[in-house]
Amino acid sequence: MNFSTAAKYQFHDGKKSLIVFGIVMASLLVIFLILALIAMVWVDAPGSVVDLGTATDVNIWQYMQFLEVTSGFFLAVFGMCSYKENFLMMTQNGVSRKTIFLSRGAVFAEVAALVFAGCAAFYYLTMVVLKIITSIIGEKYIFSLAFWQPGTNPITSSIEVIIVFITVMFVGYFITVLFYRMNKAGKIAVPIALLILLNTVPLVDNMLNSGRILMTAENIISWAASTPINGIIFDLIIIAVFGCASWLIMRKAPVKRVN
Amino acid sequence: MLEVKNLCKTYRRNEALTDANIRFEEDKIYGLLGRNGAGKTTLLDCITGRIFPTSGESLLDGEPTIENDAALSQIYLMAEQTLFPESMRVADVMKWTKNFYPSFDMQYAEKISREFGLDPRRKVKELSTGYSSILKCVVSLSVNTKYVIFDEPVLGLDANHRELFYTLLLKKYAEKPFTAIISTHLIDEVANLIEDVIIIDHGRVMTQQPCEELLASGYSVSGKAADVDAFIQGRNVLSIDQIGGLKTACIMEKPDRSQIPLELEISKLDLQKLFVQMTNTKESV
Amino acid sequence: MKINYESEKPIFMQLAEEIENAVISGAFPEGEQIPSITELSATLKINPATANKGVNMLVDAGIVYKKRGLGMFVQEGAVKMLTEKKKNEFIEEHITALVDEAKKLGLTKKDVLSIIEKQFDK
Repeated sequence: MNFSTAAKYQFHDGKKSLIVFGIVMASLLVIFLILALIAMVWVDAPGSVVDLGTATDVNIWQYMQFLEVTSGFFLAVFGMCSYKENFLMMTQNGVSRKTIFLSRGAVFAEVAALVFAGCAAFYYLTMVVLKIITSIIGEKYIFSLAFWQPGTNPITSSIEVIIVFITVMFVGYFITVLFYRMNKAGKIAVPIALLILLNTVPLVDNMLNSGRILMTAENIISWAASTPINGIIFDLIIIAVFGCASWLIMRKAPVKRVN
Repeated sequence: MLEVKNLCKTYRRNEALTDANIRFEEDKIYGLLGRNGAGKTTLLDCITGRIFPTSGESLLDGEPTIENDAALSQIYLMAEQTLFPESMRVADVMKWTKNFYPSFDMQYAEKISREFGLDPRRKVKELSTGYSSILKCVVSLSVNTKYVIFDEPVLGLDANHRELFYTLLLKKYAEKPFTAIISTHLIDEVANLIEDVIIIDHGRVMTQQPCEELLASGYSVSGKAADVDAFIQGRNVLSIDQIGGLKTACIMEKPDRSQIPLELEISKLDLQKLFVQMTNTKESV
Repeated sequence: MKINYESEKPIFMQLAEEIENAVISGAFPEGEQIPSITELSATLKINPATANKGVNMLVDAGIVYKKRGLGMFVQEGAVKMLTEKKKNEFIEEHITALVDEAKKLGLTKKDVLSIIEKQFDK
């Protein structure tokens, strides 16, 4: 029964940064609209230097992608800030680590859905404003309201995005939990080891293994990127891996004494 | 009943806690006494699962307390270390405590906050050491769980606030009994408040018994040095103090009034003195 | 109410005596309420269980009684009971000791009586 309170608290804790993020994105949206306006009204005039021609269906889902990628980065950082303070506050209030972890998962899912809804809302808003503008200055561009890649199923695409968001948060969470548990030596050793690995493995692989490891990695990634469902499966596996890893590290995490 | 059985906590270099066996009954005020570094906080952290014991168990009514939300909802530990988020306001700290502990009495908390002079709009990081302790006192006095553990509750509090805390604690306990465990090295102050005393030294529980019993196990005599010396011959002497010609000796046996000569004044064992003697012996060797 | 925390005499006993003295002096009149355990323990900074013990001694002795839900009250006739008790204690503690000490010092019965008379006349 304190699961819901734990979830409520952790969500409340993240609210502030979500709001700031929303405001930043809103500002970017305004800037984008202004740029679009300039492009459509002044730059793309017949006979001018830049002539975008006539487009019958301008689908700027790349814009959506931009929203999603930025959100992804934000959420990774969000995940990284979700551990220490929350862990201490909830331990003070008698919440077990198990409940902290599970409610954390629930909050990640909630936040992912929220941020995705935010992206979609921003996209629609942008489209609507652009449509209004074009209806004023002339029907040169027809903006499609689709925010998914042409030819894909909207539902699975959306679910994939939400799951990517959750994945990214869990990766960030794993990093911060790991750093909480590690002592000073570990905090230096792990990043260095990671750097070394990331640089030497591809090199060694190419020289001695005719690049088989890299190829396998590329194949996996292209398989995952080929369809949304593959992407969902791939991400769920990553969530499972980083989620379990986080749990294994935090289940015995002591409350460190400052003195 | 809150019970600790054969609890051990060993860090790489030292045994912080060895074979602790303690029972905390319902509705009693316990004094957990020990020197700095004796293992009091380690014990309390193990009971509440803030750290994991190396071996042994901690049980609440037979159920393990560690990683057990139900058990933990009945035990509130107010530690020396403030675990509240630094940027949270006092009022919000209390609001969230209420969310996690429905038995938290917000009206009472607000009332005693005013008595202490605690500003609800302050952020945790803005509080001085004293007011940090006061915030923790207010919360733990208002939370109303069956077991409330106060780890060094009056750290940094001035004399007035200390007295206020003890008064509020006693009033609360008298009106609606609960189990209060006060862990402290300020023995003189709590000597008359506690019912049972548990003394920890170098990670081991030296004694657990009613305070009255412990103090009745001996007595102290004072008077002229020569008289005292004559009296203490062959008796189990715990300690001797001398100021000029006035000597005081603590004797560990049940006092027999008739045997005490008129020149000597007899008085009760002082808990703090007794404690110091009990926990000094290792070093003086 | 004064408690000597250092005294060899247990606190609960001292508390009982202080209440008795207050009853005799009329500070706690017969039939009236005495301070609650909460008040007593909070004011004297003692464990409520200790305060309870002291009060229960008085309940057992018939000096004080507890009215459910209302509090603790001084029994009618308590003053008489206590005065009687104090008289006996006085005789026990002081008179016996006085006579013994006088004998030790070589004072006769006549000496002691005349000293006492003089003291009374003062």
